[in-house]
Amino acid sequence: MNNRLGVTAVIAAFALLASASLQAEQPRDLEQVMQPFLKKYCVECHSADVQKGDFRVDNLSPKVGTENTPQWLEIMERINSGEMPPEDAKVRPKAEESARIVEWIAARMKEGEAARMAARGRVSFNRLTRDEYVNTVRDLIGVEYDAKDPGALLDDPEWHGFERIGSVLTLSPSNIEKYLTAAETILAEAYPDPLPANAKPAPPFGGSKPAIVEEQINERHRERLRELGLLDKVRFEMWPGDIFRGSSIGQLPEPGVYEISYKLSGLRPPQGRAPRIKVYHERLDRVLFEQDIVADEDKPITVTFRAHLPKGHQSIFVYNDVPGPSNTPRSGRHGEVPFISTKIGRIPWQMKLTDEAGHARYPFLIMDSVSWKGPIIEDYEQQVRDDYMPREEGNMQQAREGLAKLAKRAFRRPVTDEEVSHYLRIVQSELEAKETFRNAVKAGMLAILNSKSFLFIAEGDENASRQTLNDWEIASRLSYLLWNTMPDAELFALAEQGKLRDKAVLEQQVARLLADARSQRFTDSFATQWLRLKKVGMFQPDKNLYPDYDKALESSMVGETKAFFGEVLSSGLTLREFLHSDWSMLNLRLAQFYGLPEGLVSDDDFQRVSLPADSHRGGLLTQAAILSLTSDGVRHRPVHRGVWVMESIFGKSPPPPPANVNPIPTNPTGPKATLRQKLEAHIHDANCAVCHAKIDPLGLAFENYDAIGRWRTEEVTDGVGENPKVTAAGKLPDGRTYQTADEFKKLLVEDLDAFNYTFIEKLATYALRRSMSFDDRDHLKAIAAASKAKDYRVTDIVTALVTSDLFQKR
Amino acid sequence: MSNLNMKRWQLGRREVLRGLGATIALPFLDAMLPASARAAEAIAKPKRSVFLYIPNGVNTLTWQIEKAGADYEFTKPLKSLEKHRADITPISGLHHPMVLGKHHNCEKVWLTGANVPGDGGAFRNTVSADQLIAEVQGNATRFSSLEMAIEGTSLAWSKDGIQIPAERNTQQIFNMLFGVERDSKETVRRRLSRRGSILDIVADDAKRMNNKLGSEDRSKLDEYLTAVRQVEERTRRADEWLNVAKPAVPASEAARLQRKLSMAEAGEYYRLFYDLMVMALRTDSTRVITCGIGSEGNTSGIPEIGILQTRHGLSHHNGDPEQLRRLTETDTFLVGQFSYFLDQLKEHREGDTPLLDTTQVLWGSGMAYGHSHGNANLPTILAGGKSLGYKHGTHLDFNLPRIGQYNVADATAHYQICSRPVDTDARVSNLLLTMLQRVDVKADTFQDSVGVISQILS
Repeated sequence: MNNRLGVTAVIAAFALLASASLQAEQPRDLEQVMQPFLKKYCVECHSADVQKGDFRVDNLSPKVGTENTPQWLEIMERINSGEMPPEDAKVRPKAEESARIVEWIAARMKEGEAARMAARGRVSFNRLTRDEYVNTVRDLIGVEYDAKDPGALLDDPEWHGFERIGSVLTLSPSNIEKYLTAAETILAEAYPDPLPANAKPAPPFGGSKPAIVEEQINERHRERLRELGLLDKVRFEMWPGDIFRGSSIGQLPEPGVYEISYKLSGLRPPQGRAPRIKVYHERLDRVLFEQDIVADEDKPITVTFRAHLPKGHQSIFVYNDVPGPSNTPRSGRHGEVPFISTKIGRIPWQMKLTDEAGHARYPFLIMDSVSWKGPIIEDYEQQVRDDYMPREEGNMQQAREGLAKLAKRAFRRPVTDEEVSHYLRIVQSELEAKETFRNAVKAGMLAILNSKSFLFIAEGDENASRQTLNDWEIASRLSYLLWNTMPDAELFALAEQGKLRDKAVLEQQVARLLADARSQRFTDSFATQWLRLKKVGMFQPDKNLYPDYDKALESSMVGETKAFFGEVLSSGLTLREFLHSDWSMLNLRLAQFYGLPEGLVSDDDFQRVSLPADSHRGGLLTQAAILSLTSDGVRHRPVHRGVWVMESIFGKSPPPPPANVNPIPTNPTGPKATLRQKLEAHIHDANCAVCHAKIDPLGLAFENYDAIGRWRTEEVTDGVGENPKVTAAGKLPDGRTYQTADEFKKLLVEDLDAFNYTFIEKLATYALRRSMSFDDRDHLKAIAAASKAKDYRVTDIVTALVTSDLFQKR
Repeated sequence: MSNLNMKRWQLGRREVLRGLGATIALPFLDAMLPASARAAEAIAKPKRSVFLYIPNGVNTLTWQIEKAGADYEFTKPLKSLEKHRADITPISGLHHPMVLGKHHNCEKVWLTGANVPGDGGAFRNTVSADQLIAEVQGNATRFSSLEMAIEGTSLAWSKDGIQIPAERNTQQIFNMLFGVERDSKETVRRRLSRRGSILDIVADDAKRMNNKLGSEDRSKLDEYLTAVRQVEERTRRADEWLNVAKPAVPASEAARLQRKLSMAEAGEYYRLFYDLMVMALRTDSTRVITCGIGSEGNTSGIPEIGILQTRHGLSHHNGDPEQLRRLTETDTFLVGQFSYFLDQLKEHREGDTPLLDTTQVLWGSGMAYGHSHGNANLPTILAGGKSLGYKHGTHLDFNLPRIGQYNVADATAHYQICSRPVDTDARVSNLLLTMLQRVDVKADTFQDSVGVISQILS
């Protein structure tokens, strides 16, 4: 209690400070204020000899506000929150003493702001992430690049889930080599070598073919079916795990985007899983398409998808990717009798596909045909390609114009004649080396695609110190925020006209970009990074403990969370929904996994579903993806769940566990106990307890959910005796208590301002590609106030961020 | 039979030597310039290094060799190394002081010893020992170093602390080392020369801007420039090597090395990686190899010994005897694969010398007692390199002089030894320094080393 009062007093003092720079002069002297405090309360644990929490105060620079800023901020925050000195310290400062220190540091920080900003580099370089590279290249040259294929571009490093933080995205020689190869591949596809004059053009590609062609049918049956008029009714039945190998209709004439369709039925056993088509390209080690299929036997559907594929022969396998009985014995083979209908009996030794009532016994697919179209080059794609390539052989003026156009769009800013001349020089030197004109121009393009100005999104000016963005930089920031790609023609035009610092224009642009389908990329990418969704499945759940878990379930889990974010954004809902809601976005698989009543959801598409009152779901926190992503493959991990809530909802990182704690003793043979009981048993060490008291209650609320997010009331565990019952009750550090996850979620909703600030901080980190610092705080608070004024509506928060001063700050 | 390739390769090597005269102005050969005789010697007497990383530590209770000196007994998981007794030194008691208790980055700092934040967040690493070696030993070969990983990430970090990505696809590795270029030499040369001029242009462009920037904010641009320059060097080097055919691998071996395998057949898969490493060394394609054997988070189970759990899962055994048994089984399995690697290095000779004698091999983990993230007393085995001046055959133990004897029956006490260093001077960096010096890297210290480990030197 005492502690809380103290904190409130300090906060009050802190708030005063912001508006009170004219009031009584703050004591400036480090020796008078800071040193005695540190000596008396801090050095005992935080000096060369002890270094608790890996933190020292005795070696910090006395230039508070300009040097060792992160450390001084850390000190300020820990003292301000009442966390330091710890409750069990021998001597603790009075609240006024602490407040005075906090004020003093805060004042120095404020004074140092300008100096710190000036000390930053003049230009910030943010390397394009792999996804951004792919999207940008598609818009720039109209070519799809398969960046995730073996040997293509590398994974990007992340920082607290964020993948687009400039300082973290490093560049090694391997990156450059891969960019070179990528650009060579992209340009070869955009500008294929012209056919020799006397060569015959390739015949047009495309068409369809039945799953089973006549020649595959045993002669005796072929003639029999021909007589019966059933020869064109032959289908290919696929039980769980079965493979269809007949997708190819011939060699692909060019690398490019192809459209592939399958016509098929999918029979789902009553209450059971739906069959699932998975189209896998073996050589590329890439899943081209997968989807649950539910379609009556006599009402086949057609599924269509596009894939970017290399030229030539393809190795495509189509699976019915769903578990089922083993098909290794003879009874699981395709017989010689071609399949026509389940109503026609099978060979006696074959496994029965349907029961007496005609229902499918297993989830199975019935394939009719496959068809191909392509390569597909959209008009706008051909147009951008044509923009850069000279129309006349040997015309250097056109070469210059083409390269200038490419450079301007690639660099996302105006280019100088001098710059273009450098790239033109390559064209000339290639021509001197007897290269063809077309290839020489491509070499110039290759250089543009490997230059710093393309690979990095640069902000700032090398000639002068500038702390705000210019119009071109704003165009890129906005476009990469909401579309994950380079600005389009309209944004470029607005930049050219110098209108992008106008907030009314920005507001219109946010609305326009969000209304476009490309904003799906923002939904997917921001939700993934903020909520750390890449961690789902990082530790694969143990097959014995969680036999239901497979890749399809995993992608359904992640799909729910992303679709949920998308729904909140596009339907004008508020931040409250993230914490608690009476609906969610489900597909059939997930609805079954959650044990919801049959009939709520019918297929693989995510749709908005009203949750029954006893569903134990609603909001992000009890979604399977969120509950799973902290698990270790065997058990749920309540402490990790707590840390996740702390970071994602409250925006606070708990201090790292102290080094050198005593090893956790093991206890395998005692009576059965829940993980919670085991945890509570050994948090007696005061050093540990202090932090765990803050972390654990945020995770223990979810004890009713196992490692993959299934509802449970008891914990399956090692040891002797009955499985113990779980308890999800807890007490927050501020004293409020809860009995269940639902109550916990309601407590969070009551505290919406804390979450509001965190959400805005995460969004700003994502948008600005850097961590937020002390110097951004006032801006963030202003956006938080704007959010509150709009009742925390998420679209309004995005708009408030884009139209804020922060958005235009480097 | 095993010498077949080497002989063919000797010819190729003479070609390189001839090439040296002609290309003496290339920057990447600077190190060799002062005495071309020394260069010739470096090329003629290869000094090789291999680093192999095991994730998640081991079952330290069954792992610990209890007696120091020459008459030690191999514990159960290490039994398969008995036949290599004269060529290996198991070492107990080493640790990286700056990462004690911080488990998240063990594999990243195993060869660097750098300090890392305790919360697993982003940090800037320092150079790894293998890269310092590659600077000295990497000039004579087509690839200055080879980074691979069976699962997990690369162990190699550049001087700027940037991770050098590892290749995980065995077919890509084979193609890189031995694959025959589809295009004609002229076409490749044109492509390389085009790349060369492109790199020139983009470097110039970046330099022009760099000159206008203050030194404090150049880091990203410097990174770009460094990368571009290194690719320029690699391009020049690739161009140089165009005249030297890639080593020819006999058809039978080539087929074996190009099989498409997966972790579903873990043993075969591991041996494929080891075979590729051996072939890379036999053909002198490189002299420096790092290979991550598994990932800390997600090393697959090993179906052929009936273990489906991830190694990470097993390492958090909570003392369950069954989990501990399985962990020991996987330790045994991994050591068995390592023993196979040593077999191969012994079998293949260069002249009269087994490859193993000119190859120093470090096998180990950055974690000891995984359940509680104890990373002192790291499992460590040094092997090979007799011609580089090593004396093997003993168990070198830095704990015993202080603790007298081990008592693994008292698990808690032994876990304590695996969590806090007994001898704070017994550092992995000392071993890395020793390894650097054995292969002519001029270094008096490495990271936080306090000296070389003289006990293993002849």
